[in-house]
Amino acid sequence: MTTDSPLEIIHRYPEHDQQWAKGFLLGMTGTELSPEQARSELEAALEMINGSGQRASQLFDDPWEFSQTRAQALYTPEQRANAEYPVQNSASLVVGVFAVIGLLCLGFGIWIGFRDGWMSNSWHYTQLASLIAGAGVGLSLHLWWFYRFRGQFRRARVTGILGSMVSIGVAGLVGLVGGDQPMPIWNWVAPLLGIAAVVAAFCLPTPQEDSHEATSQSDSPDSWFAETGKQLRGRYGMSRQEAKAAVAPVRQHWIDSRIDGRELSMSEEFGTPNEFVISLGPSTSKPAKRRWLLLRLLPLAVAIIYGFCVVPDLFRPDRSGWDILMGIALVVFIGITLFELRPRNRHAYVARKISERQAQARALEDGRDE
Amino acid sequence: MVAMSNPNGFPGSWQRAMLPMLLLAELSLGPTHGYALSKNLQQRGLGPLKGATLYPALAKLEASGLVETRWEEGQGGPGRKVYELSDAGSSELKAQREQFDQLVQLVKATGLSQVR
Repeated sequence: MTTDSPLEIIHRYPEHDQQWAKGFLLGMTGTELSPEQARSELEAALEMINGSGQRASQLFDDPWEFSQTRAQALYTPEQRANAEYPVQNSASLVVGVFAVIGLLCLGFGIWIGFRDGWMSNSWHYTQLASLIAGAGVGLSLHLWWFYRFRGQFRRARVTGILGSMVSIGVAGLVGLVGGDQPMPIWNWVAPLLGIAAVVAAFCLPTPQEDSHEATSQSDSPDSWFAETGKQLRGRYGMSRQEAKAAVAPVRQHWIDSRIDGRELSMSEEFGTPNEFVISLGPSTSKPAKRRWLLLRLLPLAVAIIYGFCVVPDLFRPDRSGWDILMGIALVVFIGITLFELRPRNRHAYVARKISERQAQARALEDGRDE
Repeated sequence: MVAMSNPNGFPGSWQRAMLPMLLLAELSLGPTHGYALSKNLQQRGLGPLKGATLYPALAKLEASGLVETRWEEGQGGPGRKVYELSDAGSSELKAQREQFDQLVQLVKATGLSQVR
């Protein structure tokens, strides 16, 4: 195994192929491949170029396309599972939420500072309470979604419910104690707190996530069935009943083989839960349709509920420009969401998802042959 | 990846490529469940057929409407999922068999004479 850095390997390429190698490395950087896998691929390509006497572009064609093909062939089952997730770890989610809060504090802090003066006390306890409640509930619900997506249902429930309750409790306490009084902080403090929140977000330690392989190693049939069911529900959005039905033939297969006097090793016969779930991916169009619909109906429902608060303000004689702006933004958002809900879009999304899952399942099967 | 000949059975990639047609063909004899399908195909000489390959293939056939399913009570388990060939599956099997015959002819003839 090479210990050279990617750039050192690229320098060993023939001069006219170094540009190609840089493109190849750049293509691999955008994939799920680890730095070790990328280094090893660069080495392998160099070896083939040296052995053939041809130019890299003649041998492998476009570097970006070649990097994607190689990535598909090399992914481990764990990496294939990660490709399904929009966010790779909970730390990224926390960083994202903290960064948004920090930027909000920074933006509004600067605006209020210029408007009311930097040494005034414009911020009220009720605003702090709203920020705590909004950020806390937002983060808790995102973490609930994140853990649920990874099939960690208990952790999702605990984080979602407990986090929301604590945030609302703290916000309520702040609101109760402070009331609508201004806080004893100068306006210049808010933007600084915003910057501190953004910086702190990127300095947070990255927690060790439970990987699918770690939870998939157990060969006990009960844990195999439980883990497979959880992953089908979390990753592909199957209902409890659908997941149970998908696993039922396997369970019966295992029982029948025991009746026949064969003791099957679950991972040898069916693969790890993660591998089995990836193989079932192409047959998940119904849950994919449902998840697509839910992901669009949920923000629509929130927007409509919010609309009930905004619309009365629009008809007041003393309505402000801000009220009008919010009303227009809401109508635009609802209009775009409704337009997006067309069956044509849904079919296109499901077709794309199923084709991606087919490619993952096929590559996993091919990997078993290599 | 080139499929190399395997003294212990067909190469895995061949087995997977042929499996949907073999499953449809086996189901044309009558409805049956996964474990029986696996045993029957192994007895016919397909080689070891793992559940990791069989059930995803059956799920794909079901999702594409070539196979219909119903549940029967199983022995001490959650119940047997019984697979049955649908009308679309019968037509697909017929079409695939015809194509496969052409492929067999091509494989047999290739290398025996020059292309005219």
